[in-house]
Amino acid sequence: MSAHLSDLTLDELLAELPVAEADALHVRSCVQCAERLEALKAERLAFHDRLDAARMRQRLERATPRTEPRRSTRWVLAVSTALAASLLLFIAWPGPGTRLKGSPVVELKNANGTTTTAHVGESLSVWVGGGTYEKGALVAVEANGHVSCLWSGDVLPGINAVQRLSVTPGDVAVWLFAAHQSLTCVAAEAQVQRAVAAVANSPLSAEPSPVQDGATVSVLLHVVP
Amino acid sequence: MVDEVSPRRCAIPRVSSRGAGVSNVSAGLKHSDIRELYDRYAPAVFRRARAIVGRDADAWDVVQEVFQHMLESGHAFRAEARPMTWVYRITTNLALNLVRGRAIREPGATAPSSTTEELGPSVDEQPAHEARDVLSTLAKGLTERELAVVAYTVIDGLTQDEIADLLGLSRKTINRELERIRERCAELGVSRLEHRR
Repeated sequence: MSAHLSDLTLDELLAELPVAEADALHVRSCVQCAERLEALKAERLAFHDRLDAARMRQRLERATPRTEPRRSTRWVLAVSTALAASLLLFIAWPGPGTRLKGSPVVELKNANGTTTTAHVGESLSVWVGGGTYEKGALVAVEANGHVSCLWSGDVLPGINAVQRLSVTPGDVAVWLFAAHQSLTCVAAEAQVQRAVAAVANSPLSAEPSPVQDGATVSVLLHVVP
Repeated sequence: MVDEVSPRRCAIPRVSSRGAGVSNVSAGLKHSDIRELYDRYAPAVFRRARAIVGRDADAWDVVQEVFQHMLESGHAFRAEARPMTWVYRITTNLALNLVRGRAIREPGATAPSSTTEELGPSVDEQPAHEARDVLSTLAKGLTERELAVVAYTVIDGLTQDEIADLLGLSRKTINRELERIRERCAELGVSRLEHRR
């Protein structure tokens, strides 16, 4: 078996698709793979500057019908969008003491991009950004109060996929714990369990405290049956 | 509630050559999706296609057809656990169709060097040229699947596990295929079957 990453994996990295944690770590420590990644990245950038590449994209766009919403439904969409934005602000607005610059980030993505809603059976990836922190742990809380650790390890620079999930019934809150020192699943889980115990009737509203001198951030996934 | 999952295996898609025009098909995908998909996947499709077919013009034909398939597949493509494997499979099949067609139309012709009108030499030009020679030589003597296995080996340097995953086959099957291919290579005078990077 080859000790180096294949172009397939490097292309996935460049396309910002989820890759195995071990592969993401490998490319940071392997000179040969890092050089190959840089070469492919440069070629990728050159591609986007090509005139014929732009022409091909225009050609494909022209071949795809624009699906404009009907006039009668536009106001419904506008109101829905405004409500969704308000809800997002309400959920995502940081509490007192949260650092804005360099704050950790957790996102759930499907093939269409970031999402907070998913159907049962759908495959999602969890993306994390450590901000100014180097270590992280992910813990899921289900509506029935069940707490489970999804991942713990090094947080790479930028925002990277660390875990792939298959959606099963029931809403779930995913908490990212970020810290400067190693975080164990046990410590992160314990922190969430304490918070869940404090709000016994609504586990999804639990707000665990950071571990060590770190930070926490969460995303709530609404699961459509 | 969530379960961890591993990437699922998919059967090799059957693809056929189409006309040069882009037909108006985009089941399940919106106009706004195209730009995002193109920006994300087109560089890899073009690089890969050019590595196999050697000519920019042919590589653009492959790019167009790959996106045509992507648009037709719509949500099925979106549901792929590893979309890049789908992109690799389709690109490889379409590009190899061109190579096979060329081998039938122009028997004895050598594989073309990449044309590089705007981009300059590819990071893989020299090794890709050698790999194209191998593919051209083998194009008529191997089945579609065997030729795809050769492409994944000599152009991509994929492991047997990765090839098995891409084609939805077991590693044992890929191992057997490679044995058969090596025997065929010996008959056709291709001495090496290895990654050319």
